[in-house]
Amino acid sequence: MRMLPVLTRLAWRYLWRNHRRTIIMLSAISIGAWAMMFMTALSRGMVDQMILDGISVLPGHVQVHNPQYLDDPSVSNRILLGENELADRFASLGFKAWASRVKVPAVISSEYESRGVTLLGIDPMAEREFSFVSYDEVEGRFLESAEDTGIVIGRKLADKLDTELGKRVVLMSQDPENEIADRGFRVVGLFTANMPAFEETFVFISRKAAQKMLRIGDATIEVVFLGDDYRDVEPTYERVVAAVDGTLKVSRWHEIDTYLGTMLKVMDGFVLVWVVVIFLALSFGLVNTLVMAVFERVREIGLMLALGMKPASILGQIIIESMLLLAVGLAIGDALTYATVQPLQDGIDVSVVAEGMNMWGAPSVLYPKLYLYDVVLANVVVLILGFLASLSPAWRASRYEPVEAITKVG
Amino acid sequence: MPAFAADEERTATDIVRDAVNHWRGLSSYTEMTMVIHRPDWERSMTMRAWTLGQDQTLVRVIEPKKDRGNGTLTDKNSMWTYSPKVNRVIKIPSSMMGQSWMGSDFSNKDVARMDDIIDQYDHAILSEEEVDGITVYEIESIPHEDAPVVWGREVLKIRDDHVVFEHAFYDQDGELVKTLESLEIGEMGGRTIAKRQRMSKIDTPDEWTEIGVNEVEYEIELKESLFTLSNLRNPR
Repeated sequence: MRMLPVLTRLAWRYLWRNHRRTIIMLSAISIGAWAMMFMTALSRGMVDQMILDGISVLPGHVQVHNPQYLDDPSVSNRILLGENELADRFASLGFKAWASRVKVPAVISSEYESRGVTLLGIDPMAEREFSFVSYDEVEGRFLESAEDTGIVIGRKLADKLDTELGKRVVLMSQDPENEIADRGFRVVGLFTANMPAFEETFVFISRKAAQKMLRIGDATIEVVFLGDDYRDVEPTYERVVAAVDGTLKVSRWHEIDTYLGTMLKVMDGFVLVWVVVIFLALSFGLVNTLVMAVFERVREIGLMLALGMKPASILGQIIIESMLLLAVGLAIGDALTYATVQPLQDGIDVSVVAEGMNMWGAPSVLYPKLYLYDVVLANVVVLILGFLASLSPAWRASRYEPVEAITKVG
Repeated sequence: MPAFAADEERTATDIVRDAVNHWRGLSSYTEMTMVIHRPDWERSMTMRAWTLGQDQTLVRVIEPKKDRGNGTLTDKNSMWTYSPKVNRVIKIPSSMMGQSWMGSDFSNKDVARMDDIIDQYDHAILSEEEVDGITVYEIESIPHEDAPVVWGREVLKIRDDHVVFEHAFYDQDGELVKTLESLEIGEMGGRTIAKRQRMSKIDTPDEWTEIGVNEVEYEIELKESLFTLSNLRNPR
């Protein structure tokens, strides 16, 4: 350990003795590190946005249903609690937001077309905070109260149905007795959404109108709760579980939308795999550089050994060399990543390929997200693997026989 | 003035109700042939239909042979179909009510809910005219705000003798979308009825469905048991 400052100095000087090779290696390392982190930031941003969008449609981090509803989303599987009973249970528990809604499959028809949709009967005031529709951007108006008699549909759906603001459409679904439940509604608003698919899938009517149409009294289908952070839903989950009895099913969002839940988990694994893959490509260059560096000065190493330097110090010197190279490369790579992610904070418009992206639920604007966790992961993985990769050339260098090494021609 | 308006509206509603009742009777038995015409093909089906009151209808196909035994039963707003080939009675879900009935230009809803026209609309007489010595009322029917009807308005031409002469469907911009016309009116089963009716869309004039009545009897004895699922499956 006493030798460390000397060895570091030797290593540092040696690095710059062949500065051209070092600079090439440095740029390889820094570009590799940049690629790891920049790509990770892009995919993180994409997945985050997908999850945020997905959660905004669910919505709510924790949901309560009739136990059968998730398997069979029909009006028969409803929650037999009135508005007041729900409020008694949940209003005083201090959730960031909560709302009860009617959610059933339905068919919407105009004079010319019919489409299958998800009918949402909502209390617009309670959902203002977490709806995926921003009320102010609705063409026309959004629903104004839980008694509103209008319907708000997506811009895209309106085009498909060949209907427009102010016209009437007919909603058809089933009541609990499997009888047809239908009613005419006047389109009072057209919404737009980040994801064009949502515009075709969801229609909003007021909760009271939905309950009346489906003949379910003041029963509801799902109750949704919003916690503080979608990554940590346990506190909200536990509070909701404590407030309902066993007859209702409480689910976290990633249990309802397993695709999104899995996405989040896969992402963590993906980052590590990505970092390792890039490093593997990088490591060939690194090992090659070190092997060259050792070959080049076999005689010098022999001399140092002959002068009494311990093999362990030779080993240390080579490893320190490689660590210095990696550290400097990583530092440049980190700076490069920061410098490229920062100007892109406002999002990258990828609407050119939006249609393809939307097919698997990704938004058309990418917001790169650089997490400290990912940066630390990339740096640590590169340093550890770099250390392992440099062991072999370093070991060989330390095992030279001094006399042979000094007399080696080359 | 308001009293007069109410009076006139009741009259228009009465005309429509009488026309529906006249067509169905308290009970009826009809044998009819339905022709479905498309630009490149045409097919015809012969069916027997029984109706009782406002709610119950049973229709059974007798020809062509491959469709023989296919049946439709409606009771109030519900509708079931039976096909001997699959040997299953299927309840038509709400999602399929807007779809075509037996491949024709009529929707399941048209068949199951004929009498909606009476109470889901506001009726008003537009004009009265004399055609061949018979008074024809032109009645405009506008669906109620919350009625499950997609049309902007419907215009019915109903003759003094309760025969519906023409039934036109307009969209909410006032464009004519489809019409049900009576092509042939005559005496049958002791009543004057539309013997041949054609449903056609304005956009596609060479696609239409025609229903011709071959035989009809009114006010006959029908048992309630005729309109049951077991009878739909196993005709007695």
